[in-house]
Amino acid sequence: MGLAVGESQERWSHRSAFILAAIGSAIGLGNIWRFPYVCYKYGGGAFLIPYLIALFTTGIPLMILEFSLGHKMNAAAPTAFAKVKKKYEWIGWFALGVSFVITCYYAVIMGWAANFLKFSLTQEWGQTYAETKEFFNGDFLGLSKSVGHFGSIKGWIVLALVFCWIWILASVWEGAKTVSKVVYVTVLVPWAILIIFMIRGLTLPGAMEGLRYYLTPDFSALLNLEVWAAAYTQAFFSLTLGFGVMIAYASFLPRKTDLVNNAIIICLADAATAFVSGIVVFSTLGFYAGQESKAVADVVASGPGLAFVTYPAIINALPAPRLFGALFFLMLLTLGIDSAFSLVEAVSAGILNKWKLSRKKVNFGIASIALVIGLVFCTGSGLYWLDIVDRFMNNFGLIIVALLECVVLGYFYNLEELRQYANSNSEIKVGRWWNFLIKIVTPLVLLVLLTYEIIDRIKGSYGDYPRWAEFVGGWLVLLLIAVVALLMARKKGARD
Amino acid sequence: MPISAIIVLGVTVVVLFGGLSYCCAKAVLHKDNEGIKDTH
Repeated sequence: MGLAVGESQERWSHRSAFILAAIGSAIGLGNIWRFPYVCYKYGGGAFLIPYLIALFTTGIPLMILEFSLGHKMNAAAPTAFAKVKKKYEWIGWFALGVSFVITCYYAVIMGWAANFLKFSLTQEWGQTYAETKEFFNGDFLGLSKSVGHFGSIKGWIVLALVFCWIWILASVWEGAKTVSKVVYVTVLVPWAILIIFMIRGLTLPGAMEGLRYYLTPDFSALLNLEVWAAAYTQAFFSLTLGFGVMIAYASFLPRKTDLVNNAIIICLADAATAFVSGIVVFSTLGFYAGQESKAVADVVASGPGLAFVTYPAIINALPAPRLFGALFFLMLLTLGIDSAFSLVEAVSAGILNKWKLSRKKVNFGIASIALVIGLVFCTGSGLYWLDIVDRFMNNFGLIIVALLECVVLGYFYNLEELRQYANSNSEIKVGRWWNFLIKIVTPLVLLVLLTYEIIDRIKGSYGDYPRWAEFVGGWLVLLLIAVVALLMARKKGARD
Repeated sequence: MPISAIIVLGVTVVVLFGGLSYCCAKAVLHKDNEGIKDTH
């Protein structure tokens, strides 16, 4: 049967290509620098209980929902929502708007990793922790004293940013056809490096001490509501849900495909990668703490601080530091690239579904605009802006999209039909409990997380940044995305 | 490492990797694992 205008024309080369692409999109820098720290902070091994519960009650059900929607409507997010009802199309554009903004700074972080890959060969980042910290914040970023002091744009970061965008563009050049080939490298290579690091980490002196911090359960943490909120947040954010990526990726699948099993594989692979990353991070932190005669709690870190400050210091202490330094930053780069190009692919698929345009021109346009916007994050205050925008895109943008997804599909669409659709060619069948999770549990959890965040923002600005900076980097960006989403939805497409 | 940490490690490995292996085995053996065939 021929494909109509407004439907995805692309197809994955093979089921494994789709699974790897979706895993690659889900697995990102957060698996390395966020999960281990969150696990350690919220009860150690005990955190894994709420995390796994969150994965099975929110992560997997939402993944099945996005797959079913994309596959049934055979379209990326905007058109998929438009097929539910025209007035919901803006939700899809809003999701893609959030994706686009995230791509703008995600590529900059990849640019940092590319620079550090080069530095790992010369180890110019210094020897001690104090030196690596000074190198990252001072020499490398030229971090200004406050968010309002932009300073100058760092040439070497821009150069790496351009390189990353060329790489991203090359990866999505012919859409799913190119992605189908690229993911075999960009998913399998970081996994291989992660295994090398795990073996290396576990054979280092002090590794067990690190693991003790990571895995020893503090069961009293289970009574803390904050721990459960952290578990649901982690399970939700880690899976690239609410970006429109999984909707687009599912639309590229052939008609007869096992949606449920694919969703479970992708979610479990993401969780397993995060868990193994924790072993890698904490075994090396245990070793480093021993070398520095400190407690693991004194060296533990998360976010860019872990990757670009603590890890270079750890790498210095390892035998063959140049090799392990290069491997570590190559792992970060390859972990990041498939998340980045999946976001571009989602945006591009959304545009191509609606208008008859050249894919290459659309991709080039997305890359050019994102590159220019990304320059803000290459300035002296770029790290501050990145922090603010990231917080708002995740804690507001994504949660709003996922919440709307659940409400619209749960209450204004025949959710039961979607469940039966997901089951129609799946070996593992989802029961009516899925409807309950999508209609009640997931929206409730997302609403609680959103309320928490709103109360937090009323109490004080994020990260003690000035209110004006929070407004510009957070609320204004969200407002702009909403306006653009509404305008895009109102514009006539080729299928109207 | 305390015994509780070892139990946590064991249970997580079984749930995550056991589940993953089970689902992957099902995917490999799935009768409709045709991949590239477009049946639109």
